[in-house]
Amino acid sequence: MEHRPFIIYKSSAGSGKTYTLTMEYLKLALQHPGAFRNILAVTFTNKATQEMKERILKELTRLKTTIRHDEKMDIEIMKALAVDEEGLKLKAAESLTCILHDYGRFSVSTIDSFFQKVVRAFAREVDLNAKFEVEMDQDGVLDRVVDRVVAKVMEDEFLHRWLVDYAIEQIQNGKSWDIRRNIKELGKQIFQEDFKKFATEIKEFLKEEQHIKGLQAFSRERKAQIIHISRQLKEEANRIRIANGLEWTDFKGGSTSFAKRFDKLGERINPIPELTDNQSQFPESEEHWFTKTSKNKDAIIAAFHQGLGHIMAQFEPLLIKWNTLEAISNNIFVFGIFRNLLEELTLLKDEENILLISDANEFLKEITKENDAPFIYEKVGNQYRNYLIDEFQDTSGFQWASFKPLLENSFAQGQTNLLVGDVKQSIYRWRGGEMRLLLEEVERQIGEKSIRNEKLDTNFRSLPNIIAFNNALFKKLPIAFEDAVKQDYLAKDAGIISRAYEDVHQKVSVRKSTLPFQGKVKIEFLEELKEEEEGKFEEMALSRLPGMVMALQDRGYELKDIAFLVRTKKEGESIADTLMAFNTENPDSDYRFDVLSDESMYLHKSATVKALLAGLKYLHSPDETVQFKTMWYYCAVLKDEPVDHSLFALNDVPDHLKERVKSFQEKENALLQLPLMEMLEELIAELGLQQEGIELAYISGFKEAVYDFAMKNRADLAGFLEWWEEQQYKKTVRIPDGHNAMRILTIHKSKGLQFKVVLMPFLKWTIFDTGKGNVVWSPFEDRENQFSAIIPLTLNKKLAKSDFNSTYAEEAVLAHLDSLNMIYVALTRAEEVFWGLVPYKQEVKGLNYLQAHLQLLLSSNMDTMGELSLSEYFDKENKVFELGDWPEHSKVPAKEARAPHLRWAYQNWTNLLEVRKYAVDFSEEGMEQRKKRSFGLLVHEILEKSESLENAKLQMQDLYFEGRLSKEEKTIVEKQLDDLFANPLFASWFHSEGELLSEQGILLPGGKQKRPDKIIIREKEAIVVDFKTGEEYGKYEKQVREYMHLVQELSGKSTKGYLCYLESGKILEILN
Amino acid sequence: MHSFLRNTAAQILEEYPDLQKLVIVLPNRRAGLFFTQHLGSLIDKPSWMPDVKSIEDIFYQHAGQRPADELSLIFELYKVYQTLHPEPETFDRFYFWGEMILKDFNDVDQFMADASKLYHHLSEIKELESDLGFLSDSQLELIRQFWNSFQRQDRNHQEKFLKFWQLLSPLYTSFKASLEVAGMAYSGMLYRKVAESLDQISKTDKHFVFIGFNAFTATEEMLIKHYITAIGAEIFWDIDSYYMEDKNQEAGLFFRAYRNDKVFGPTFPSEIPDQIQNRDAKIHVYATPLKSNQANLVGAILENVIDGEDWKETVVILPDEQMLFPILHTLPGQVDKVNVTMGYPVKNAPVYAFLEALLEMQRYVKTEDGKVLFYHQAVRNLLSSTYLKSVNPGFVQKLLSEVQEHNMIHIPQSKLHSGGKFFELVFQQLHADQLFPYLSTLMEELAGRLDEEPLQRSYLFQCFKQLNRLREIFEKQDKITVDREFFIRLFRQVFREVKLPFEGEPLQGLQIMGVLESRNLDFRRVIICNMNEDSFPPSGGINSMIPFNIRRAFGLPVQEQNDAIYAYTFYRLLHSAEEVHMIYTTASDQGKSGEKSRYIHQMMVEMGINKKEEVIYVPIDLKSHGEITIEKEPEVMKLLDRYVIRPDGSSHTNFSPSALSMYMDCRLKFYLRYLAEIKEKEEVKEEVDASVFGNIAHYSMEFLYEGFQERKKRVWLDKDDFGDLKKNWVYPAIEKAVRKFYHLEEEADTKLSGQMAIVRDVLKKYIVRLLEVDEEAAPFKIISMEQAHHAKFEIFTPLGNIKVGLKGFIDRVDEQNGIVRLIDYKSGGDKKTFPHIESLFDRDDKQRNKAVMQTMYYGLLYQSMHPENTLPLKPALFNFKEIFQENFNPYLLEKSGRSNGIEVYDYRDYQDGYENGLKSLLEELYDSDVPFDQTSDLEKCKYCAYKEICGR
Ligand code: SF4
Repeated sequence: MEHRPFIIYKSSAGSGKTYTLTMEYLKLALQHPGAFRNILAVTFTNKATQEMKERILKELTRLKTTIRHDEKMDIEIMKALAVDEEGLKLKAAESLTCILHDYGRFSVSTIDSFFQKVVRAFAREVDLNAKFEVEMDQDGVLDRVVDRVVAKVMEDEFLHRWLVDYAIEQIQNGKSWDIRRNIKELGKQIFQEDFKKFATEIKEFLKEEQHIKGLQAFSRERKAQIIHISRQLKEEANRIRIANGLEWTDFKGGSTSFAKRFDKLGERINPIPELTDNQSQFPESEEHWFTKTSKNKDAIIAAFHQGLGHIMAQFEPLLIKWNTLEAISNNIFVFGIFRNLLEELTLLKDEENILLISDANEFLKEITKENDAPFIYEKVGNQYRNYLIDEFQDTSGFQWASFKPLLENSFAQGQTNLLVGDVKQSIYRWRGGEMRLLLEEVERQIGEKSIRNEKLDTNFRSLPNIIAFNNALFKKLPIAFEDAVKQDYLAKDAGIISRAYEDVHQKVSVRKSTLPFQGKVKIEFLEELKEEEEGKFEEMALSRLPGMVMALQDRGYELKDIAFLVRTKKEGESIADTLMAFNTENPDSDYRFDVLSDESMYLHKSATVKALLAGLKYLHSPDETVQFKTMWYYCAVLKDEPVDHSLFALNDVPDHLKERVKSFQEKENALLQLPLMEMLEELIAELGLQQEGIELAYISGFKEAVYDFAMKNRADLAGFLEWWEEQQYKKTVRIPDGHNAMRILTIHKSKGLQFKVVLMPFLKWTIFDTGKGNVVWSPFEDRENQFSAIIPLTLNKKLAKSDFNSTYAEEAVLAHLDSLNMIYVALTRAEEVFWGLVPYKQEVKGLNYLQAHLQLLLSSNMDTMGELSLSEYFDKENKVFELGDWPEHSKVPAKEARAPHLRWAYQNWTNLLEVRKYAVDFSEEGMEQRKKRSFGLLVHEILEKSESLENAKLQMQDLYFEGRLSKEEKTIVEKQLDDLFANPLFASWFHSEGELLSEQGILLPGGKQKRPDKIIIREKEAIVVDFKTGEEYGKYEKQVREYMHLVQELSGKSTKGYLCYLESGKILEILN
Repeated sequence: MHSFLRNTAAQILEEYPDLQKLVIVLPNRRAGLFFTQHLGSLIDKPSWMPDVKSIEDIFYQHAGQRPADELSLIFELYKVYQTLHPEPETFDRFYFWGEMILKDFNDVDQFMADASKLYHHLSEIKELESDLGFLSDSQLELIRQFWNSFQRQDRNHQEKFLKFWQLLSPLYTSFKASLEVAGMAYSGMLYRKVAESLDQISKTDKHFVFIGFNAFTATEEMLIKHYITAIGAEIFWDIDSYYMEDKNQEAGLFFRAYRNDKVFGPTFPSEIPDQIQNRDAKIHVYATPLKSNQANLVGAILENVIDGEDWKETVVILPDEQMLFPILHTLPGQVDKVNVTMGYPVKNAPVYAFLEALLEMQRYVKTEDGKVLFYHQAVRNLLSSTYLKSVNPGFVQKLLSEVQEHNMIHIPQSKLHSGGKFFELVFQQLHADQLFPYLSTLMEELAGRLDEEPLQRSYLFQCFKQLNRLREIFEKQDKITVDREFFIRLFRQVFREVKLPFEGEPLQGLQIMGVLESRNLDFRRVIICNMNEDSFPPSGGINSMIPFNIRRAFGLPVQEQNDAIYAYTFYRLLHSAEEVHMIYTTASDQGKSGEKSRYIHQMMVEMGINKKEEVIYVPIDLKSHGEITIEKEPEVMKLLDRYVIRPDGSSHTNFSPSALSMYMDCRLKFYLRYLAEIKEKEEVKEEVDASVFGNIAHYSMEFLYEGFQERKKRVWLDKDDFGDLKKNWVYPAIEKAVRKFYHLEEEADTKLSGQMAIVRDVLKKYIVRLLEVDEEAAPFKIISMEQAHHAKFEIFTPLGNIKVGLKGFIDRVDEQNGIVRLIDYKSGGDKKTFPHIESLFDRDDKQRNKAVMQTMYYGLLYQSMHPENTLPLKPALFNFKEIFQENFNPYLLEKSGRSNGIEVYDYRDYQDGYENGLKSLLEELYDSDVPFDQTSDLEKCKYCAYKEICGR
């Protein structure tokens, strides 16, 4: 077989992708012990990175002792390396050691961190600052940018006029004039790859204010024209109507007749009324215009022929024009200030010395384009020969463009590279993921000849019933979706949907096919009760949850086996709330309802956090009574104390709180003087919030948030409170793996994970959701006026009837694919049981809803050959789809999970430690000395360490560098030193004959030390000197005498002792 | 317990009992302290102390000089750079590069590399190859490999690289020369100088002993070897065979090399200790979800320590200093003493935050018409800090509320200065070069004020110290200008590193220290936090301008050496540990991934530990806070009495339509707002929200027509009056309205913020449009504007009939065409239709029309004040959102479903229905059995000021 160095693995869900990736990695890494250094494995998330690393280490650890002959991995590796069992063991052992001890070069990394590493190595070449920080919070950056732009309104004439015009137009259209929000909304685009692709052209276009003004004028004029035309049409229509003696209500439909649309022509906001699909036939013939029995039949026919029909025929083309103009002008104002946004962004990045996470891709693209691969490796300090890229379907265009030169360099040398992914699981298009690359693009670019395609088509994850269900469903669903887009959006090229799902069919693994339990899929359709309020399905679904959870426990499932999948964090939040509430309401239940979620259990939900936050806010601005009351209210809640009028009434405090409120108020001032973290700890202690031992996970999370803030920012209260405003919607409790509780997670987060039981209580969503204000960039050309531009379009239904309809249809196709992939990911997570709830409609209208497709496919006989017949398992009466029986387990008694012992009590660190004091510092004495300019203590400190005058000055220099002395003070000290040394006796203690023991004191048994400032040992005598500052005291003499004794004893020489007062320079000889 | 330092001390004492002649050199000061302590425990009578030193001390002593501080060096470097670079960047852009270059130069010298050869140029490669004879083939290969990577030289980045690279060699030479002249040096330069003149080191009768070293730089190695060979120094190694003998263990990298060395080799003991292998320590690994939970765990581990154990044999190692305070805060009571090697991070101190806030404020000072103005946000943050508040609490309080009330975006200096001397000091507009004196005066001033706060003063002194240092450095640099932004950045940068050391007995109590400080020390129990990659070992990546392979070729340290150093510090901790606890966190944040340390992996695989790691989790429970229901206790009923008309015909207070509306929205909200009287939060708003906008619009209309009446002395407006109004009077009215809204004096200048400027222009459009609407309706007569109207309203309560006070301000009453119009301006998108009168009082109706309920209320008030009135009362709503529509019609419409609806012509037609609705509403309010409870409609909570209380 010819060598094809480029391998593309297309791996469906559960097909052992990690296994394969690990195997491929090992094939390369085991070639020689250091080979791993030249492999870069790229994963999508930090978590995946760690898992991959652990997996590789685990397999190596196993392989070094045990080789299994029934293990594909072992066999393949042996084959690839042409070694036997012992040989493999040896290689595994060597490589493992090598990796563990050169772990820094064990390159399994996320794209982002690899990119950042390279960009850092090239910072100077791409004109970045050294030591830039990577900024993740792009929303925050955008906020600052927009603020800066708006602040410039007074200076920039164009900006001012433009924004005022904008606000006014907003208002005239009955919209909010809060333009800032809109600017931010569209402004987000500047971080998107979609925008960056066109950034150069767009910047060019916007450079001249004339251009954007021209575009605006163009759309204004045209719109005015259309209004004008439509008003004429309206007049004409009414003329014809009156001429025939008719009212619009005489036409078919009576008081709600379609004909009333003529009267709506020319309205300012929607000058062209839209026709329904039915009505689009109307202009062609009069037959729809009257009821058979109408007495006005003749008149209506006459009116039709006199021109009404013709007029109506113009609706459609006019509408298309109008919608096109609307689409252009919709974003024109914000678009017009993109130049300002971009300029400010550049300035801001420079000032704050940051690199936006979204810029890394761009820079890297430049770097790999501008440099040869070897040079890049040299600069980065790592030479990669093999690339393994995981989750390739989520790689963006820029990312691919960055990698491509490196990969090409690698395979030009015949090295193996590997791309792994599954187009069906591409759900990150909104982050730039470009699944076409995996589907076909790479093959096209690299050339078929170098590529070896591999398919992983056995599912090792799920039980047979689950696989069969998915096989059947995903045979049909893509077709149904494709048909829907073709029909509803007139998409011409929707084939990508079925192309992506071509290889969806999976085989059952041998091991699973013979198990007694074959798996279960249960999908219940809930019919909403019409008369109740909206949102009813959600209510119904939520109320079912406790029962479902109990049923699962009866079947022997433990909590950790169960996961809830949701589309949005909000849904997750409601599930968590429901189950936690149920848990509290049923404390004696035999069942457990513990749920965990990194995504939806927000810190700010906890009473403790609320009390703390209110407390902090109150401390920050004490006139906020709301906060004060809020704080005590939650304290009362936490301690189950009564909540009544006395708690809320202004200037009142319930008796049981009096003591605590008083104590709190006394502390207020002291609290404010504490660093943020300590303020928080003290507040927790003061309010006694940790005493109950509840909500500890929330308290921990909140503390952590404060620590993080204090680490990165100026740690003051005001700043924290501001920061928290934004962060509170992001911060959730943190949960380690391995805790026995049900997981709640979004489908996005569930990718790559699997659970025994997957529950989806809200199996419904809108497929092509045009309400989200998503933006696409589209070229626009006006031939008449000879200009073209790339403009931002906000997706909405009206685009379907505009010149942008093909862009719109293309979006529709991709949105359908997104949805399809999303449901594919969701349905393939389960190992044993999938259980979902879907809203049911008597009559399915509109195919833009997932639930509609599910209902149609599961309940009707539209089976595909060779696959399971789904409708056979649909119970029409109960509206339940049920495939497979429950397993034969019985309930395992819920083990009370024992939380490990942790310590929560707090104590202030100042009980244990004191900070160091310095001579002449800001302490009371220090300030005094400062005022008097008396630096005796400093001089003491200097002399104590010095052996000579020069040395003393060196020490002084040090203090000066340390900042403890100013220049001016240095001169004073210097003079003092000189004065002292001017005394020959004093000078004789330094650099004179004999040995000077400075720093070197006397050691007593047991470790105590005695340190006279100077000890000089001369031939015949020894000298002890002690320096003092301040007042003279008799006890000093005693001390010196003590030293003298010791020195005499040690040196065996007669010893003289001196006491020297440094300020006065007075020297006392101490007699023995 | 095995103790390297004690064993060494004993050994030395045996050989050299005359301690006076000993010079002991240890890697750090801490090890010195412990060493002396051990010595003390081994002697039985007083003795001279040996001279204990660090290796730096020796170098600097021989060099007769100490290195200058980094900032001065970078300044110096920049000066030289400017002379060499054709287009040098500004200093602040250069700064970080400078740091890097300096570090490289330091390495070059520390490792005795030949700079001119290291920084040689590609084109010289051939001649160098012959010249680089002193390099081994493999080193040559590395260099070649690097230069070969320049496959094509036309590449832009490679060009850039080369340009800069070429500069470095001359930069190195000139920089050193200029330092010589200035009498300054960086440490590597001094090291090198000493190493190059070892022969000048004079002989001494002192006995030198080097203890516990691991990785030497080239200069260190030369010096120590010199001492060994020429002076007979001794060297003691702190090693274990576990990593010495296994060549894969990076921890033994240096030792293995030293053992093969001619000079060092013989100094190794013939038998290498194997403590680690034999000890069989108990090893625990834990994973915690959060960083801070590590502290809770450490607290728990320490709690379990049996009383009476010597705490100093337990160490807590903190690779991430940030953990220090959480750990200190959760130490159990039995730990009575701790010794901490790290210091207090001054940047956490509020005093520092205050200083930074002062600097930040400078960003937003501006001068307008000769007045200095400060931005409100910055000022308010400062004012609410305790430092200003405590100086003049009354003033601060007053000023803060004034700022609020007048919505002052910018606050004039004069106002701030009236707070007193300290305020004068604080609020100044400064040039970059005034920042130093400003800050130091303030610091001294502050220190004088912090009477009872010794801790704060200590922090402040640290700041002061640093500031002085910076100041001295900056003052020398007269040629380099530094702008404010850079100053602030540098200020932050410098202070981030400043730590205030703790006082204490290093040799007692629980030991808490960073990784490197644990060198040579031995502990029985070792607890290590942050056993995560990127913490221990810390994140890799040597920041250098010198490419990796060149570094390797010239013997400069690369990652490999770093790894070896850290691995050694880790494994050394195992020398005498009997109990090891390693904690890592799984939380991934800020780019760090929560990955467990390689050392854990290594130990698991190589020490055959198979105990599972313990996953620490914190139970997740949530206290449910039930509904809030306030019963109508007597106290509460008393509060409701305030609305009741007293015998004298007045009431203490009245119901406004918005209060009633609020009651319908949510009973509890009404209670909190009107009975508990909890004030809603007010803020200075730069963003002009709908309510502010509405208010200004109201005022504008009032001023506009008031002005008209005054000018023309008539209350009738005719169609021809409007041309003039629209053209000439709209703008002044708006100006006046803005002043009124923000409580600005007539003559105060109204420089508007960006956003306000837009608002004003927008408002103009509105008013003009309103006038157009009025013009069409003209002629009409203005009856009143913004006038309070009252009514007494009778209801039945269990205690009998009572009358309550109603009150409202009607935006405008006019008479047009024999009809009295009751006009309300609304800035929102209120609708004018309502299905029927009952719906106005139906709190469950989500579409309940508040605006209609309110304008109808005006009907009630008007009629009650003017019982004599016989004209129709027509409510009208000028809602801004609709006003631009063609055929705008301000009148109310009773309309349900698809019907065409009936325009409300006269309030009196609806009076009975309306009053009935109102009556039952008020009767419920006075019903003591109906408590104040929370609404079930969460929509109502969205913008409620009390949602924090309700947790909604
Ligand atoms: S938050 Fe909701 S329930 Fe609470 S007072 Fe406000 S409106 Fe009422």
